[in-house]
Amino acid sequence: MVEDLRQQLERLVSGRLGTTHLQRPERVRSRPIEELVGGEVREASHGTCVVVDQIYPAGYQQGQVEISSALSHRSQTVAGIGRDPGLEALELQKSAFLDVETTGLAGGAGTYAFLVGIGWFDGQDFRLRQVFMRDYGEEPALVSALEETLEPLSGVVSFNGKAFDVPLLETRFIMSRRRFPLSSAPHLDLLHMARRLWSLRLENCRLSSLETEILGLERHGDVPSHLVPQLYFDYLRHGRAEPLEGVFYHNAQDILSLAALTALSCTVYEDPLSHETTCGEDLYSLGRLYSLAGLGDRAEIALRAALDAPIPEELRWQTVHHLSFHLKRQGMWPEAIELWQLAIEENHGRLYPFLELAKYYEHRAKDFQTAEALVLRAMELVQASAASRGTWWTERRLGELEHRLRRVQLKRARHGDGES
Amino acid sequence: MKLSQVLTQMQATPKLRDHVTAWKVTPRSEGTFADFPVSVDPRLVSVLRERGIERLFTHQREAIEAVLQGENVVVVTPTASGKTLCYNVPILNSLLENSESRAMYLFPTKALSQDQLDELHGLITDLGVDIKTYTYDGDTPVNARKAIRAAGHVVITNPDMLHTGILPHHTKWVKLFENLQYVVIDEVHQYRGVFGSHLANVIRRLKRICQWYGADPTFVLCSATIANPDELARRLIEEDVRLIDTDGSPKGEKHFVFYNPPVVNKELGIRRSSVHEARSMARNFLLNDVQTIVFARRRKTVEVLLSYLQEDLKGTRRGRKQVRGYRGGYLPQERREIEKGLREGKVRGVVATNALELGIDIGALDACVITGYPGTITSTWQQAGRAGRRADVSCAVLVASSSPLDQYIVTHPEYFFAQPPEHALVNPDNLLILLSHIKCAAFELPFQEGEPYGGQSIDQILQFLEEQGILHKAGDTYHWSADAYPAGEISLRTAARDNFVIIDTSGSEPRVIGEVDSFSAPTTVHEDAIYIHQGEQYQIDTLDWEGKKAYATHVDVDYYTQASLAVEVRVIDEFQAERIQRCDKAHGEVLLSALATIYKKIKLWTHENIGWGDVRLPEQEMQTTAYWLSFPEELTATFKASDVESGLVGLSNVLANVAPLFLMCDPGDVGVKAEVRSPHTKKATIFIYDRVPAGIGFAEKLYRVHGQLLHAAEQLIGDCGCPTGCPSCVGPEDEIGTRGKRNALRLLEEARKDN
Repeated sequence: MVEDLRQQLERLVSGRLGTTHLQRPERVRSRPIEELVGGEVREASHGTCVVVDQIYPAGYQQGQVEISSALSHRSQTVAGIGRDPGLEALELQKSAFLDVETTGLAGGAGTYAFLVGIGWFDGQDFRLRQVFMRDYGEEPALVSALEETLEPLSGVVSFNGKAFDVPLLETRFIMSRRRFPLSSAPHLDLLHMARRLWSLRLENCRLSSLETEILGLERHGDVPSHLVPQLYFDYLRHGRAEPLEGVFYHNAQDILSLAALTALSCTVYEDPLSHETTCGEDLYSLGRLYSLAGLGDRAEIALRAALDAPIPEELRWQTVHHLSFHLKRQGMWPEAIELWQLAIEENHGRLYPFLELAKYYEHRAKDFQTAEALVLRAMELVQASAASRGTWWTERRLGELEHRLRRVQLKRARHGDGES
Repeated sequence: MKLSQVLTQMQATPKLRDHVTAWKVTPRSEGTFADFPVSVDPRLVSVLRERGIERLFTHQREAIEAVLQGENVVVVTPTASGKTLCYNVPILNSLLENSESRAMYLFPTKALSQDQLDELHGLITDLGVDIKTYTYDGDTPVNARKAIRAAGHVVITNPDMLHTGILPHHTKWVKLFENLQYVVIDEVHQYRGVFGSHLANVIRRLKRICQWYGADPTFVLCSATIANPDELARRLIEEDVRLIDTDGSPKGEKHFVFYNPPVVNKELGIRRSSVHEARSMARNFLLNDVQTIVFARRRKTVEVLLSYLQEDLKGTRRGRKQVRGYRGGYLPQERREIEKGLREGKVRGVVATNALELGIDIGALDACVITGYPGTITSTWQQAGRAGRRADVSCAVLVASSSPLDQYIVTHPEYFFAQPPEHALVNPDNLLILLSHIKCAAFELPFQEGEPYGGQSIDQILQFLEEQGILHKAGDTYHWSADAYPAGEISLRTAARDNFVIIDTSGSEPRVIGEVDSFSAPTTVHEDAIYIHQGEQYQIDTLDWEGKKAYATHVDVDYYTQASLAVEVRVIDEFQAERIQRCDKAHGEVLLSALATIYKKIKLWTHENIGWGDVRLPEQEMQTTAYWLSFPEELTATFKASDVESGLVGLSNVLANVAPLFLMCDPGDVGVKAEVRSPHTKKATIFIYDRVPAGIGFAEKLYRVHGQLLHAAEQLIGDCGCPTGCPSCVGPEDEIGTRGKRNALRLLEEARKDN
């Protein structure tokens, strides 16, 4: 009967699931993981797990960035780069820089965090603690070690942690019948920040790209993320510990880079011109971020600097567009008009400068003749682009323009050309 | 004209009356009532009274009281007997009492969930209390999910979502699982076969999670009439269940007519087409403004009937669009619109597949025409129940086709009316299904060594999964140890996970017009196939097999296509075998290979074969179970070789058609294959196989009813009036030869002789 079920299972698996039959795992001889990574086995009320502690003293540089410089920034800056007023409550001095290594990316109750790294500032020093479970049975001990480490901390800094690391830890804590202490703590997710700040310049916003392009850092002996689960499974089944060294290194580097990126982005945000922020893409992104945060002056500085910096043609016109609206809102009419005229002269095909100028001449300058001429030019432009924009768009725009034209003509007839 | 007048007229029409084999009239019944139990909150009682519900039907009262006392119940009552109150009343009552309490509703489809949400919302709004009710399924916006998980009092979902979206993420549903007091499973009769076997395992997982969080929910199940509702319920939830099956609701007078179309060719036993006869029945009802539903077995028949009826009604006051089609493959918004039209009476007729058998709310109609026996007694009653108002007369007509099962039913109406409906079979311990769900369960919560699952030890399976590198044992606990999400790889509905979509490329923008599952793709969306959607014909131009897309253009032709399958059966394992009288019966595991070979073009109105083409698509393989009977050499030795063959083919045709009498399955759920010399048995053999992967218990059941099965086959062949075989018994002469009928009967007689 025993053999019967076995055979059936094997048939099912080989016939239908496509997995090959595996031999019973053989254990390899390997130095214990705690020795390899310079950690120690910690005993707690919930069993044992491995803990690795390191200190990166004041002045430590990750790439070209001194990580402790993160501490010198104002809380409004953090809220600004995070686009979340709630982040004013985030104290970097008391935050956990968090990164987890997992058995998969799927999420759900069957995805484990086997290595959790937490970095935090201790004065100007940066401390890094990595907690590792040598088997699933050590998870309760891992959870209580984390609980203890997180206890004095009140904020989170992560890379994609809102979607991944924190929900995953919440699940792991629940599975150990505990509660993740920082669930409702302020959380700066640098992935979102990086997308807002650097996505125009970079091909992607993966942490590794940011390290090379933004922090100027080269990693050595790193493990590609997608191999991480398999290395852990191999360790569990065969006891092969050496390849995991690279995972510990990878995790530590990720956390140091979190601190460095926080520092760098705060610096850039506080003074767009201080750093070597010399490329137009970054300045444009900053300008947008400032104007969304209601920081008009800084937005203007950044956008103007973007126009002076090397910048792709299409982005240059977007910058002109945003800057002109910013100036308009500030009531700086001559500067705004200058940009609209520039846009009309140099960049054929955009409708907004005609409309804005028409509005200006109609409502402010009361120069109805110029306004009418501009509306007529705008209509020509719409008709010329009808083929590429489609009928719906064209008809809608033309309708609006005709309405405006009638009004301007009426005013012109009533008041004569121009108010004097 | 009123329906009662139409019926009188029908009775007076000789050419119709002469072909009626049964005309059963169920008189109007008054219903039995009871007061609300005193424990029901007065606010709830007054809300129901405002809706005209002064008193309960007796079955409602019984159910409500039992559920309030924490007893599991299964309520079995026909369509429109107010079964939703059986669970809504006790659950709302508990929520009024304790706002921490939680309930989960499971419906087999999203459409039913939506119906239920609307009904509950109505009650809650009238109550003026803050009871949060949500549907949670594939359509739920991602940004709404978090709020639902945290705050939903009643979560309405389907088994698939529970399986892939909720259980694996149970830690996000702590509030629900800690406080889950009720689980409602409606349309339980749908959970049979593969789907039911999967569901039973999903419930095992649900209960395991509840236990971990400390909850012990009460189950409320509802079912259409089947022979074994309490047994099915017990197998699904693996707990004791109280059966409530005395219907207290009032009923209007109901006519049930069995109609056997006249024979047009006596020699061949060919009757007038059931499709044509159903068309004229439905036309008669519709022209007299009797709201009518027409059921057909196949989606193709639905579309053909729809075009006939729309043609018939062209030029009438309400025009051709008063009749609509309804079947799987239509897009959801299309369906919603049709359902609404039916409820409001704007849509006067609908031609549907069994997709409308489910409890989708389309109101009650006046008449129902069933084109061909739906295959099960349960299904027939379900379809007939679509016509039936509480006060007025209603009518259902079953139009038999020439198929053997139809002929058996229509000529033995007493069998139908006296027989209890079929048993719903499930096999939660089907090894393939069990293994799949053990993986999911291990993903959700680690297994302790010795921990039972489904009431049995599964240590061997856990050990096996550890050797496969899927689980890892730490101490005495098995943990999920793979970079994978097992629930995502397991579909509860079919073996084939990924559907093919059909894309219409005729318009300016390509648009998806429907979908088919990948097992039927080779026969329905092969290149040059005619795919019919809402009465419109589309020809498949290219099939992207890898990408699972079929590109079609709109055409207007006078034929449809039908593809044939060549099947091969290989026995992997014989579970049981026994010599009965002079033949051998057995059942076991088989490997099935099916290859679509050719397709025929069949003319719409005359059903003539007007051409054919090749289908060149990959063979589909499936592991399943089969029952087979084989005739020993000493028996077949008395036959000429060619007689063995024609007898076998004839007999296999009959068996394929009578087998569903003993299984609660659709005629297409089992397949048959005759082999003059099977490589496995080395004898003349007929296989009847389960068309669902890994089998669902049909094979074993047939093995058990072997004697009755052969008896029914003998009765059918013996009673058929044709001289040498016809499609209503062993098959037409051109398929089995002139001696086929005699040979089949002789084989049976020989086999059933005692030694």
